[in-house]
Amino acid sequence: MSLTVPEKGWFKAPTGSERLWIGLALAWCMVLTLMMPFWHLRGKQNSTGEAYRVKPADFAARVARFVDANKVGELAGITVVAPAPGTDIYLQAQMWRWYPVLKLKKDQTYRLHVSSLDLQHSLSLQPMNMNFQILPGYDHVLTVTPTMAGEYSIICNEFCGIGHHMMVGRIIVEE
Amino acid sequence: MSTIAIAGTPQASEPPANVAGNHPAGAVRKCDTTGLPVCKTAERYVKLNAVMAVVFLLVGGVSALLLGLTRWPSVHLLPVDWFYRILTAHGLNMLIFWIIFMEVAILYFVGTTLLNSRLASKALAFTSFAMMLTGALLVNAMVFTGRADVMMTSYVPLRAHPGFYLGVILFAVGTLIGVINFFATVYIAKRDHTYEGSVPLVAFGAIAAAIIAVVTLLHGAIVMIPAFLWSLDLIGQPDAAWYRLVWWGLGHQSQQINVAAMVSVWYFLAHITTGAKPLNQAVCRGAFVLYILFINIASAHHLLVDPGVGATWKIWNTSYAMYLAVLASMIHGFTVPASVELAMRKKGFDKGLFGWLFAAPWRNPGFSAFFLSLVIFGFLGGITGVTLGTQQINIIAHNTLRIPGHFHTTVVGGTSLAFMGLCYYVVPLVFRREYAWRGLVRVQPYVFAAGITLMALAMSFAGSYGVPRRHWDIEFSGAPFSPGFDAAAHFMMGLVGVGAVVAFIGLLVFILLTVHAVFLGRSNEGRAMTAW
Amino acid sequence: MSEENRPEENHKTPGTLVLTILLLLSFALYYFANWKALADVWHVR
Repeated sequence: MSLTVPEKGWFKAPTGSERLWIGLALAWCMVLTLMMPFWHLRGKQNSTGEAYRVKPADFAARVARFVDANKVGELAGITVVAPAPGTDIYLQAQMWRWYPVLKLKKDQTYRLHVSSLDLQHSLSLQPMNMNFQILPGYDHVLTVTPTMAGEYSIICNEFCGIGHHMMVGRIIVEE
Repeated sequence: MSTIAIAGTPQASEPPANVAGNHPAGAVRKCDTTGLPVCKTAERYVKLNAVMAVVFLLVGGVSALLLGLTRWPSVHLLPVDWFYRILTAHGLNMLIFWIIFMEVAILYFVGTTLLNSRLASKALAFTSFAMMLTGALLVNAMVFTGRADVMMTSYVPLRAHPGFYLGVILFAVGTLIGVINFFATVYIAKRDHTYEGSVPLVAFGAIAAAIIAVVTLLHGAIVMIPAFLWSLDLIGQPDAAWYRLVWWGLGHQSQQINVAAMVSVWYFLAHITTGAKPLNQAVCRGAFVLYILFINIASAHHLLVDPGVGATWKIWNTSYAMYLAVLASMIHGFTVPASVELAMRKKGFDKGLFGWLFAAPWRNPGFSAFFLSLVIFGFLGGITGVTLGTQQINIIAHNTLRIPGHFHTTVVGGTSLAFMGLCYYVVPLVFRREYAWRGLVRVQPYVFAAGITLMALAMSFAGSYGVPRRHWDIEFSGAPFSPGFDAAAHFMMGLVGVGAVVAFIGLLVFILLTVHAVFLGRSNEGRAMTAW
Repeated sequence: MSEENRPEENHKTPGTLVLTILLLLSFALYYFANWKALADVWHVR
């Protein structure tokens, strides 16, 4: 029994339904293991973690240059940019806003650079519900293809202080 | 002084065990119920640690109620600063202080009673307890005075008062000293030949938990000491990605200590409530070894959508490590109920497929807490955990309420509930006091399990609509844009509140009845405990 | 011969096997439903 020392000869192979279950469980673990490389090769949604070291001030300067070159208007007091498809685009996270508002084209691919100027943040695209961690000092590159048109919100879902819930940005996807 | 043989058939090749154990005269008593030896020094520290565990459970529990009532949209109780403060307190008191105090108590009990040994060092037990208590009080002081609004994870560059990091370090080192005292006890038991052959299965599981604890606490030291020095401005800010990687070496593995301890408690309760014996001890022990070997790298599944770590690293670490540890849990998920089934069938409850299950002692709170813990942990916690921890699927789950929805079914519906069931035996056997209002005790596991299950499921559904964790206001008041979550998400958040209230009632019943039993309960010294 | 060492016919636990297979089926259902949900979101790498 479980509270006393085991009887002599306890070290033996499993039998019967116990053995069957261990076999089933092991087979299932193999399925779980193989699904991930399979999706990496064939699936369309992967987090490769592509990232480059960047100083927050340098990242802010790149964002400013990107906004100057591509701005098309303003929405709720935030600059709207409409970058050309296939280019590198930038999104800056800081307490407590996402900057700028991005206007993208459906089914076009962009290299989206995201980094934080201060604390850790997390990019949560709603209602699509896609989530990526954003760290200060790391330029996180997401090669993204919006497959649906519409207006999307970006909320922050990593705690970043008292104004955490006000940190909402926008991505507009046009046909 | 008592002489209790807990060894099995003596083996011809070895001298018989020293059945009197290695206790100094007068330092041991024989349990009036089980006949097992109880080291009096260990007993004192089992009591001290268990009492502190329940105190911090109460702090964490009241916090939980306040959080539940804040995330319930139509109640939205706390102001924003207090919400994050209480959330920080909730995580630390529940996940760290309640569970680890309880685990140290379990280690002392297992090391001495099951191995028929004295506790290695009274001084170490005192030092460990004093450091853990000081650390826990310091952390709580910092949090409740608003000097550490950093969540349990305290991700840099979020910065708390140095006292916060110091408190965590004190607690961790205190725990490490307790674990060392446990290993020393295992060593002297072996040296003094107080048992025969291999250690009992429950002790084996506890040793597995203790080994994982050492690795975990080392990660804690590696990450918390630089954070502490940084908070004193003695060194520069630790790198955010490095911090996350090492912190999860602490944060994830500490959950595996809980799993190993919980599974040991399952074996303990299964035996003591139904007389269950494992079908094959080699299988059970092998599964514990898988935990020790493969859980370390699984910490990676907290970094699945992080920058700076590549896809190959993420996939390799998740799959290689996790799935052998998952296999271990799936094995225990079979061996534990199978041992109960076998024991019940042998007692004559042999009708059909599930006659044994219906005839099980569901009125015994030790059994119901254990079996509900097993079901909640397996069906809800395990399934959601492995799925959310799949590299790509994490994209649609990271930092949403699906994550707390998962871990409230593992660590609360699983570990905490199992530990509650354990208390229904610890109080009569170690404190030698009887529970009063026994009808209320019998329903407590069901109330708590129902509340936590409702809350966790509602969290999971809300999270799949995108509702974030650690978030004060899903109406986003003051934000430039409103995401406008689905009405169903708001409904789910209401259910989170309802579930939290029900679970809190279950928790409060547990705490009140246990505190009453410990301090005012009828003594059962000199006779067996009243059977449940 | 001790109880734990008896031949396997005394170790039949069909109820538990049914329960664990039920676990495996719900596991597979939830797991693949999540892959399906993932396949519906924007493409990213």
